[in-house]
Amino acid sequence: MPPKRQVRVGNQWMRAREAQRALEEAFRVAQAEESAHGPQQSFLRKYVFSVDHKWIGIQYGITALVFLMLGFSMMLLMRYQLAWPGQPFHPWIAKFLGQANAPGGVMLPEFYNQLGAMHGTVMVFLAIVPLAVGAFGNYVVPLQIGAPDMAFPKLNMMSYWVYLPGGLLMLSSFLMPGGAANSGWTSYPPLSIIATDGQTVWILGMVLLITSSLLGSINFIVTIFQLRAKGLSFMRMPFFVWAQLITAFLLLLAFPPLEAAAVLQLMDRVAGTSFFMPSGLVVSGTPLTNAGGGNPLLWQHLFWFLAHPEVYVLILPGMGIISEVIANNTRKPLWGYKSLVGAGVFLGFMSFVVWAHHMFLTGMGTAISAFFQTTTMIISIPSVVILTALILSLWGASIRFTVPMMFALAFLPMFGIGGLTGLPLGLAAADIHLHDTYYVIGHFHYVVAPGTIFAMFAGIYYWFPKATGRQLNEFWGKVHFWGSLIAINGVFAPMFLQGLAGVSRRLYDGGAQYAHAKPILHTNVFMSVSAFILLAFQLPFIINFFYSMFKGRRVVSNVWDATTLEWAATTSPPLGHGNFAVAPVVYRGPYEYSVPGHPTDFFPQNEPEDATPPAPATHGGMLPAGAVAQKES
Amino acid sequence: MTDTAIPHDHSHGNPNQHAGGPPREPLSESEHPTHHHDHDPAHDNSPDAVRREIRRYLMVFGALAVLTIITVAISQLHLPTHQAILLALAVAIVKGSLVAAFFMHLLSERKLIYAVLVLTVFFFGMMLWGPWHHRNNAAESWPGYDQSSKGAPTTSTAPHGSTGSGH
Amino acid sequence: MDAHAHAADDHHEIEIPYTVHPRPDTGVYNGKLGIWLFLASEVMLFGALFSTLILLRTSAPVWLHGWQVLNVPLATLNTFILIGSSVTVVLAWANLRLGNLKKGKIFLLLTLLCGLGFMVIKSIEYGTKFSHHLYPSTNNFYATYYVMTGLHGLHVLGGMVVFAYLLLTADKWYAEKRDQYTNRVEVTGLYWHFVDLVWIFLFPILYLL
Repeated sequence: MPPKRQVRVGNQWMRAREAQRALEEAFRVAQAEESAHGPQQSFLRKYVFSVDHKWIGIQYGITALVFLMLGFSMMLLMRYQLAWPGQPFHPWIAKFLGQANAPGGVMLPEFYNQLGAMHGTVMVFLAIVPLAVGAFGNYVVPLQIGAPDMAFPKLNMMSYWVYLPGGLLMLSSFLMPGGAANSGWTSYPPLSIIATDGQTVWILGMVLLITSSLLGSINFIVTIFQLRAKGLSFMRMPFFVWAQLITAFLLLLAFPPLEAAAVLQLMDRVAGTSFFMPSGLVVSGTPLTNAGGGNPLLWQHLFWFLAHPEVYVLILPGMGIISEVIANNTRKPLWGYKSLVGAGVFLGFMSFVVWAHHMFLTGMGTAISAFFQTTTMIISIPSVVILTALILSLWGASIRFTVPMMFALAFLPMFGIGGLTGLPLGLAAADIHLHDTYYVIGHFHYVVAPGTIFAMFAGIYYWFPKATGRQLNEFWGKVHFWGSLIAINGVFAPMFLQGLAGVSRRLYDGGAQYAHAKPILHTNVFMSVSAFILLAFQLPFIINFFYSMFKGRRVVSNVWDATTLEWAATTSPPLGHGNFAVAPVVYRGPYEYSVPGHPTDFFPQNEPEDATPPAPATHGGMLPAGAVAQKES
Repeated sequence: MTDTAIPHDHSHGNPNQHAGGPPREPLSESEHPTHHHDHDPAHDNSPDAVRREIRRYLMVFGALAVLTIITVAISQLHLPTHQAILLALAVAIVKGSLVAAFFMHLLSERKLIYAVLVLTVFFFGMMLWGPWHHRNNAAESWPGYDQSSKGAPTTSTAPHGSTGSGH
Repeated sequence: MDAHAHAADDHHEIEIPYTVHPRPDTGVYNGKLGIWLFLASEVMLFGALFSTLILLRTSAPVWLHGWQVLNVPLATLNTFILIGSSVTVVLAWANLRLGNLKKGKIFLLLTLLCGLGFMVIKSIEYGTKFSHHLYPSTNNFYATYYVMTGLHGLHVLGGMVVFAYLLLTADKWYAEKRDQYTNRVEVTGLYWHFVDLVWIFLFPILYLL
């Protein structure tokens, strides 16, 4: 029996405070050793233009979280307007927004449209994908495959340094005359062609972002194929790595059509071409003088050819993170690893052949609509397989309710709701009623917000100790979790009701002027209040994040007693020196937990069969003492 | 999976130990200074093999030149559009295949590369097929559609007539 | 290893496996896989433009024929130039593998010059059109012509920049990291062949139909 109120560090038992001091000392020694290694890189080379995947991952992470907050703020402004249409903002906010956007503190419809378009763009392209792929992918994948870095470190650095200017350029569109892009994140012509200058800046920003994404995806695929450690076959890779591999293929092959389309739209806007402009258009009573003969539907095809795979880019890394967290906190191998991989690959492939389910109402004709309806129904199968495998992984498990696990557990039903509500949208007949209503907004937000973003939170709580050598505060993590879970459902659940009642998207007044919306209008207030509560519960997270970075409890390397390779690397691996003291060799699958006969309940991938297992971390005393004691042999 | 050197150091268990210098990889260049191209016949660097390759490149160049002349000659015949497109594409596909097979060494390339390309070609096909289904909407769905595009001489033959409900 | 002969900065450069020699199970070195993936994305990029052309052309009641309004002889010459440059680049690579740096550099230079020739002829073509007030905005025939040949031209320029860099760094690289340099020429060559491949399709579709 382990001594009461004591934790084990290495081979010694000591009280928590002593343990902290011991860990601090060990860390100081490691730091000193590193500085003694000769001439250091310049600050610029080491921290600004770093080629180390871990630092680049952190750069992506911080930048993406800032953009996430910005996108969130845009949503809050919109929700204020929707709940209390025509009400002036607080004077400080009014002053910040300026007279052009909110004269007298009251939001103009034009500004609402800008917020709508930019919220979507910022969240999808500047926040979620850079976080899921750029941050988590970059940081974790090389570690999880036992590689010293990405295959092309300099290319990796360039990816980040194209993303950041692209993002800033996007945001700067708010400063253009006429404001930011305002034709929806989907930028449909002809509206987007005749829209204000902000749209041109949007296009240029997109070109940079797409370029960044392309360079990154090449890096990921080559890294995963080429730099896996000895013994790490494809079917021994953690599902997180599979998810990132599939995602990288989606980005590689789906983004270029949008890049081409963006160039065409740019030309329509500035060079007077008519790729998307039909003949005979009259704008505000004046016939346009362009040559005409173009087709607005061409844009829709090319846009959705990317944008549908894009939504799988948004969810797959999240599923990968949830898989890691669930395996680790159930102390069991994942159920159906092979089905997960097969379903993931099939999902990636199918994602390319469903795009026109966003275009059911464009007059494509019944044959083509039937084709895309069929493929869309088929693509729901792999999603269900993945969700089922994850749920079945809980069966018979000894669940550790750590903060990452709580987010992972919540992900399951939330993604379930998001996925199920997609089914009526995929059926052309039902979509006639639901297309372009709040039902759609509810559907995709359920998948991305309590879905992907919760997965991101899970990932942050899970891998924060790996990146910083410290742990996020557990109490405030749980506060963050519960508050967010309840509030986020408050924001999005009523949207289904609004959509079914017929309330359209992108309405500045939230449906106030429509008779059919009257019975459901009150939900706007409920949703907006929930949104502000959601904001409130992010504050403990933000404070926790920054505080713990400097003052959080120090932890040993494998704080979660996990099996995957990233935990075999040094704590908070030093930059620029590779990740592993010795290149790991892999002997088994990624989730060998509770192996019968093994002295500990986890068998790391890189541990030889015969070696004595290292002392388990006992989680450095970070978990409730009772939860751990029984696991000790 | 073939492997060569296995790291002998099993002291991987101590997370705080930092062995200076780059991590040892079983197949790093420092351990294998000699080239081992045994897996890739296309990269046989012996002078004879390379000279044979060079001869092949020059023959392919000749074929490409001839095919270029052919395709220009055919175009001079001003065949009906359908036939003209098919022939032009056929010649282009042959030329492209020669470039891919011999200049890009696809003939001797790895399965992995083939797999990526097959996948790409499939999605490429989907992308050409999709928008094409809206091809007749221009004439039907846009009431103000101008039948004579500005700036184009009117003598050219229209592509096969837009009879609407093909979809 | 010769890594220590480099600047102090390189002490921090991590050695990435399979940069030069192929990994046994995949059979490729990193750069080769990387460039093929990039080319796959380029197929999708140009594919979107081909898709655009197909849709716009088959929708239009009237559409110009390339041989009516475009300079077929000049474009044919350009086709020969580009095909020739594909030969020169692969000959450059062959010579570098034989250990013949001098010949390799000559063929690289020839490739670069072919690219330059291509761009010069392209500018003449564009210039002539502009002088007749034929712009992308004139109609969709010209719009697609300019965008497709323009994007292709940008790719030619990009390739030229890389060839110039390879030429300028040839002596230093070949002496210190011969295999890595040869691989870089191979990889750039693959990109260049792709640029040639796109033209092989663009030429008949835009000019001859």
